[in-house]
Amino acid sequence: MKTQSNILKWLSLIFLIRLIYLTFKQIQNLYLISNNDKKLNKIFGIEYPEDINQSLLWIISIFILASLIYLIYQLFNLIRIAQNLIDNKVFTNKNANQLHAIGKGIIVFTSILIIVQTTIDHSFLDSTVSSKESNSYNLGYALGTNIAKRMYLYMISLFVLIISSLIKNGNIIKQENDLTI
Amino acid sequence: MKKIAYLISKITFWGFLLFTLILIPLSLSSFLEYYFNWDIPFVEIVKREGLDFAKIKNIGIEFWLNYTMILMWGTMIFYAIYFYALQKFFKIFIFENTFDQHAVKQLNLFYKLNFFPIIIGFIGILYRYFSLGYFKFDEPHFFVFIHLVVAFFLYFYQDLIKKGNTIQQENDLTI
Repeated sequence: MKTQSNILKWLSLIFLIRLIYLTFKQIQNLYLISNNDKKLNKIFGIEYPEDINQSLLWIISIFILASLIYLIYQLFNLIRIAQNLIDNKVFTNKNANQLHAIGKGIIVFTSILIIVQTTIDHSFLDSTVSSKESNSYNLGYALGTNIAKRMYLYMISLFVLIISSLIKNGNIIKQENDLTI
Repeated sequence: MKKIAYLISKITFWGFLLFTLILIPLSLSSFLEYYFNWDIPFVEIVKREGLDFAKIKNIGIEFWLNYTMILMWGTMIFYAIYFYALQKFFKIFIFENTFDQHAVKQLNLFYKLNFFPIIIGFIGILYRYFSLGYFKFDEPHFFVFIHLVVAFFLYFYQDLIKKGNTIQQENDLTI
């Protein structure tokens, strides 16, 4: 268990550093938007079309920044849980609840990312594609490709939720055991 | 959530199985049409840029008539087995007692299955790197990455289940 938890802890730490870096880049993006600069930093591969509406750009950027901060908070929790697992405090209610919150957090984060990227891609497709594809086709295309791109995040959240339910089940058996003794 | 995941994996397994059962006989028959000039329904041989392709009518599938077809069969069969193991894996968490030896065995099988695409993908990446001379993160790398993530989580579960199993056994013995 120690090896796996250590790997989890270090992977989360690396991801956390990356997220902090991206948060600073996003703050820089907000500054660039306020100065009407069109060359924005790419966060999570999101590219903004040059003719994007300024209010939409503000909303999207604030949403991304908020979700980045939320993800950083959840990663801090994950590192704490990994430390608990290293210390052999495995089957506790606190770990189960926190992991459940992390799993749900990743689902929320991924959904926000998909909505944001679909909105941008849809407006981009509508304004640039010269074919006769309809508005709903473009929306479906953008949504489909974005879900496929981010599917791995949903998978990760599902596996985290399973870990949380395993810990919860283990906690019930542990409590039964303690009471019997 | 777990039930939805179980249902999706079950549908995916049946989808892959049906697709494999349709695709393999059709691709085999396209070979017969190509080599013996037999007129097989649903199959059409198309020549494009000097290469021979088999086109399955009404399904919209086209494949190059060479050794890559064997790779396609292998992939289809592997993922049919993979999704079968995945639905069994989700079943453990919904219907069965999670902390028993059977669950450990099921997990172990699914865990080992994840290493096939990792090894094959890794060989493919190395081959591409040495033959093309550059590295770019794209679809094959992504598949390897996803299987690595799944393998890591399964490695984690195995230990959790073993730990839970020990407590469960202690519990049963005490009672």
